[in-house]
Amino acid sequence: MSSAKAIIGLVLILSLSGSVCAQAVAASEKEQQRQRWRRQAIDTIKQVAAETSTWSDKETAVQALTDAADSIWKYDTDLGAEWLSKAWSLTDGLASTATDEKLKDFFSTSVQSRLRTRVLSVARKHDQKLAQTFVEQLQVDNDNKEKSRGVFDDRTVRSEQLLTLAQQILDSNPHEAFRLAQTSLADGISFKLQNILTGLRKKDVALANQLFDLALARFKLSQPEPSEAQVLAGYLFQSGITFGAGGNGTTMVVLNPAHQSLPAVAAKEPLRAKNFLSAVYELLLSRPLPEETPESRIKAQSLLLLGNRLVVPYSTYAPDLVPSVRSFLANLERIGRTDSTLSQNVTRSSSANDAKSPSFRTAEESYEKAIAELVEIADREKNPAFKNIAYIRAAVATKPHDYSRGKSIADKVDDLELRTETLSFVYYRGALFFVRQSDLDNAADLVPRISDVLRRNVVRIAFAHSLLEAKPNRKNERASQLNRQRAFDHLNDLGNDLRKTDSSIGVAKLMLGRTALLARLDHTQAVAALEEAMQVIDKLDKMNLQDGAVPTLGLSAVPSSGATVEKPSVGCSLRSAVEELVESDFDLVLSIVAKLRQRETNAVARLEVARHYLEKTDSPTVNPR
Amino acid sequence: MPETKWDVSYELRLTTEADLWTASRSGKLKSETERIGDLVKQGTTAQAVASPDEKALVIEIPFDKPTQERLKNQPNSRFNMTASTVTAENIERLKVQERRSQVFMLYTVVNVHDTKLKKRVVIPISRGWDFANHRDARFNISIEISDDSTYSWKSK
Repeated sequence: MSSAKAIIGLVLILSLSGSVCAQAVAASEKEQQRQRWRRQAIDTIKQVAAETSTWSDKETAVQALTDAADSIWKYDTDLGAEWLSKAWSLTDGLASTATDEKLKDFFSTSVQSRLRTRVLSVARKHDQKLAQTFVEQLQVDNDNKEKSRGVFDDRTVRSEQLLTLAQQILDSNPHEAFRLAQTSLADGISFKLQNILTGLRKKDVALANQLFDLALARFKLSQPEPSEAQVLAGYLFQSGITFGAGGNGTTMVVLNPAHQSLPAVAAKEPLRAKNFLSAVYELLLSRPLPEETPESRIKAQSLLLLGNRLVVPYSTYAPDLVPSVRSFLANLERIGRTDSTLSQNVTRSSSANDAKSPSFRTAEESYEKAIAELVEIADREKNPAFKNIAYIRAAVATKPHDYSRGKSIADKVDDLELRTETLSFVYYRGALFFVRQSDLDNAADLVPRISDVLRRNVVRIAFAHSLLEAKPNRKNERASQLNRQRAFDHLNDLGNDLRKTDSSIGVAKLMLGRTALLARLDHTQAVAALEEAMQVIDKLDKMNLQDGAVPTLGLSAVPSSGATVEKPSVGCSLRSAVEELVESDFDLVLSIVAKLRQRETNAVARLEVARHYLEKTDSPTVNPR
Repeated sequence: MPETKWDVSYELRLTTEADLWTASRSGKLKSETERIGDLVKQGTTAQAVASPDEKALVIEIPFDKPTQERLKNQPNSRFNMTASTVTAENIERLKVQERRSQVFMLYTVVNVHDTKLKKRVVIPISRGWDFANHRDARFNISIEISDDSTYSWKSK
C-alpha cells in the first residue's frame, strides 16, 4: 500500500513540476520574442529616419524625423537630437502661408508654424537647451513673417511658438508655462496670452498676477496696438472672449468656451483693472485721432471697438476718466464712417416690421422664424441656381433632429442630383445626432435613407462604436451579446458597402476605423480588415495616416454645413487600427503595412507601428544596439 | 482633372461704397442669402466646359451706358479727413464720395462635375472689387478642389 502511495505522490510531483517548467519556458520565450520585436521596432525607426533624406515631401519628412526622434531619445540621445535638428532645419522650406482659407482672416496658421510647434514640443520634452536654441533662431526670422496676418495671430512667429508651448504645458508645469509666456512678451502682447493668463489663474493666482503685471509693463513700454489692449481687457473683464477689428469695418470675435463662464478677474483685482484702464487711456484713447486712410480706418475701428468695450469698466474702476473717454469715442465716431444714422434706421425699421420683438421670443420661436425667413428668401429668388442654393442653406439651418423639416425644404431643390445630395446630408446629420443621444432606433430608421455611401457608413461606424461602448450588462448577458452581434453586423455591412466603392481618403479612414472596432470583437477578422484598409490606401496618391478624425461630409454648396454634424469619437488613424493588434502580432502587422507601395506612406506606416509597439511594451531594460 | 466638366451661373452687380457699408452694418453682406447692388449682367455659361485644356473660363461683360456713367462719376482721388479737419462740410464731402465710389459684386454658383472624384461639387462664391483699385475691371477667381472633395478659392 505504502509503495503504491509513494508512486502516486511521485507522479503528481513530477507532473506539477513539468507544468511549472512549461509555463516558465513559455514566459521566457514570450519575453525573448518581446525583446526581439522591440529591437526590430527600433531598427525600423532608424531605417525610416535614414530614408527621409531622399524624400521630396519635406512636410512628411519633418513629421517622421520628429516622431522618430521622440521615440529613439531614451535609447540614443545623440541620435534623437540629430534627427530633431534636421527636422527643425527642414521647416525653413515649408509653406508659411495660411493653410485654412476659411479661417485666415482670424488666424493664419501655416504648415511651417504647425510643424515647428511639433518639433519644439519634442525638443522641450527631452532637451530644454535644444528647444531654447530653436526658439532663438526664430527671433532672427521675425522679419520674415508673412504680411497678410489674421486678426488674432500672435505678434510674431516666435511668440506664436512660445505661447503654443506654454498652452501645452500649462496644466502639468505652470511655472514653465509662465516663463515661456514671459519670454513671449519681448515681442508684445499676443492673442494667446489671454488664454495663458486665464488658465494660469486657475492654477496659481499669484503667478497669473505676476504675468499680468509684466504684460502691463510691456504694454506701457512702447506705443501699443489696440489689439494688445483687447487681450488684457478680455482677461480682466470678460474671460474667454477676444474682440478684433477686421477689414471692411467688421467686428470679429473669438470665443474660448472653456473660459467663458469664469467670473471677471477685475472684481478681485480692482487696482490692476484701474492701472490697465489708465494705461489704455494714456496710450490709446487720448492720442491724436488717426488720419482718414484705409489703414487708419481699420485702426480707428479697432480703437472704437476697444473704447466701447471698456466704457462700462471705466465707469466701475476708473470713473474719473469716463468723460474724457466718451469725448474721444464721440470724435472717433464722427471721423469714422458717417452713416451711423442710416444703419440705426435700418435696425429700427427691421424691428418695427416684426410682430414680436426678438427679446420676447422663445428659442423655439426664434428658430421657426429664422427657418421661415430663409425659406421665404429662397421662394422669392428668381435665378434657378441661386434659388437651389438658398433652399439648401435653409435645409442646413434646420436642427439635426428636425430632419423631416429639412427634408421638406430640400424637396424644393429643383435639381435631382443636388436634392438627393441635400437629403442624404440631412438624414446623415440626423442619424449621427440620434446615435450621440443613444437613440439607436431612430438612427437605424434613417440609415437606409442615406443615399451617399460614405455618409451611410460614417453612421454605421458610429453605430457600431456606440454599441461597443455600451456598459456591459451583467444581469442580462444576452443583451450585451446582442449588442456585440449588432456591432459586428454593422461593421460587416460597412465592409461590403465600401468594397464596392472607389478608393478615397474617406473610404480608407473608415476602413481603418472598422479595423479598430473589429479588433475588439474578432482578432482574425481585424487582421483581414487591416489588409483591406492597406489595399485601399495603396490606391491613393497620399494619405495622412495620423489623422484619426472621422471624415466630415458636409455639403459643398454650404461650406459651414460640416460644422453642424455630430462627430463620432471613433479613431480612424493607423494607430487606432493597430491598437489592439500590435502587441500580440507586431511582426504580422509590420509586414502588412510594409506592403504599401507609396514610399513615404510606407515609411510613415512602419514608423507608426514601431513607435506604437515600443510604447505599449515600454521597458528600460532593453538594449537596442 | 481629365474630362471634368463645369459650368457657371453668375450675376455681376454694381453698388456704391455707401450702400455696401449699409449692407455690412445690417448684416446683409455676411448673411450670403441676399445679393447687393444693381444687376449689370446675369447668365449661365451656355454649355459645360470640358477639360483638359479648358480649365479657364473667361466671361466678358460689356457695360451699358448707365453703368459707364456711374463708373465715370467715380471720384478720381480720395478725400481724406483728419482729426483737425472734422467739419460738417467735410463730413458731407465724405458721404458724397462714398455714394459715388463704385464697387463690383460678383455672385456665382460654380458646378464642377469631377470625374476623378466621381462627384459633383457645387461652389457658391461671392466677391466684391472696388473700382477705385480695379480701373480695368478685370477680376480673377481661381478654384482648387482637393482629393477629399474640399475646395478653396482665391480671387484678385
